[in-house]
Amino acid sequence: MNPALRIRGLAKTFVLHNQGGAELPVLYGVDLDVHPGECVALDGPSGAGKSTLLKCIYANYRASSGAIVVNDGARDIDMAAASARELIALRRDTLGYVSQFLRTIPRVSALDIVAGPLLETGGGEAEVARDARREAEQLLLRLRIPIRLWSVPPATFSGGEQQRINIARGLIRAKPVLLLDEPTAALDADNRITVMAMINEARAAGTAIIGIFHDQRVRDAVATRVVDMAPFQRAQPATPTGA
Amino acid sequence: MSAQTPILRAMNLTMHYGARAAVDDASFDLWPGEVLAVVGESGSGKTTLLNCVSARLKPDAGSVEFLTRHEGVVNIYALSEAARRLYARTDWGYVHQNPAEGLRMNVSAGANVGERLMALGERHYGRIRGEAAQWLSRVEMEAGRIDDSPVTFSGGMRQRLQIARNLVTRPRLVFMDEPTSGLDVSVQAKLLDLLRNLSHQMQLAAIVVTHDLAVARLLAQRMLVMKSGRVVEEGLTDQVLDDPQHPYTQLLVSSVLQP
Repeated sequence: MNPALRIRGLAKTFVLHNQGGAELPVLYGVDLDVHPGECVALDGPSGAGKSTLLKCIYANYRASSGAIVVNDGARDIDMAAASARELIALRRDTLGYVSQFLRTIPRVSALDIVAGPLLETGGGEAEVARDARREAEQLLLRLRIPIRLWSVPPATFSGGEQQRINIARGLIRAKPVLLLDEPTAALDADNRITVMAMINEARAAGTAIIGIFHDQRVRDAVATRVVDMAPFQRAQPATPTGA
Repeated sequence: MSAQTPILRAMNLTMHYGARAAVDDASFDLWPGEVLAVVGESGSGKTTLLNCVSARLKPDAGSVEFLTRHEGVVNIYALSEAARRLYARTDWGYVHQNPAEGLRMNVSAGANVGERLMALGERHYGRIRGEAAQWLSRVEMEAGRIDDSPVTFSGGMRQRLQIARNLVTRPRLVFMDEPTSGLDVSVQAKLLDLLRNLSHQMQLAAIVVTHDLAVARLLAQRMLVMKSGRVVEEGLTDQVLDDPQHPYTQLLVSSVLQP
């Protein structure tokens, strides 16, 4: 079977033009395949580039070099070379991403934030919107978000509640590739178990998952493979240069 | 989103004020249903660029192509003045920073909205009034204010009225120059939410000039960064804001609080 995600020679270096052009190399020589039905856990200490790798795959960060090839079901597309318009379509249909923190939107209810990825698919038709909200309700119920909060914008929610909103939004529409950045960090035991079950269901349905799971129990429960980040780092100078 | 032709294509636009280039060789495509933000500091050429692509200011060089509903792609500066005006009244909208510039302040709210319908040939008073009332409610204005003059409205209400006046003809392309910057923060949030919803429901293509990066993040899928009349960076909005490449964009992003 072809991988859903194929990364070759990916490098990412940040260049800080307003700090005298200082270069921060974060990733180097990343080669990685993720197949449908696999869940790859990225392993490494803070600063090893795990989140940066997910952000490069999502094209939130621009790769400095290399290829990030996603199969959208019909063809292979390189995220690192795609146009903005192609990236918008790929994010809508092919690539899901659950970030660490929820970006709330003033005046938009938790329910509509969760339903968002489904609402986007219709041109505002009432029927699409009703079905989308119904599915969002099911997810919010399953993730134990109290009904009284559904109509409230989540800006004032607790960290754990916001994280569950984010997960529900990330999972409401099945996509071939799913990126998860610490999806259970702020969750209590019951919700952690629910989220682990949801991740496993997505994987069993054929989603290719790549994620960061610091919690050993979560990693053991969801990952089919662990990838060490150490080989993806260029040797760093022992002391800061120019100090 | 499925269309294969951009709704607007700006090619090599240059506009001088005296010897200084306010816009210097700017090119971009805008796709149907897409919201594009143009950001940059005051004097970077954002508004001049907006005026050039909206047929309000003929550039010294370059061309602007518009995908019409029925007649294919036209070069807007090759059209007759009459044809250009017709598009401006029907298929395009223009939302000014100062609503007083986009409204007629001495006629009622309902007439402000109905006027663009009348320009399209609608003459039935009941239908015009009904449509105006419906649009006032879509921009969250009380029905009871339909006969009031915008002079009696707050800044936020005037801006919402200006938006209703622009959208009543169901344009496919809207130009917005700093639509929220004259408003206080709570009113801004309401207006942004309204613009987000309407642009999605109506599948509007829009160009939003703003100096506020948070507004760009909320409204636009794609972004252009301008400096000294040139487009120095472009990309997905979150990409440009989270991983800016150009020295000027890095400075811009690092200068604000959490866009």
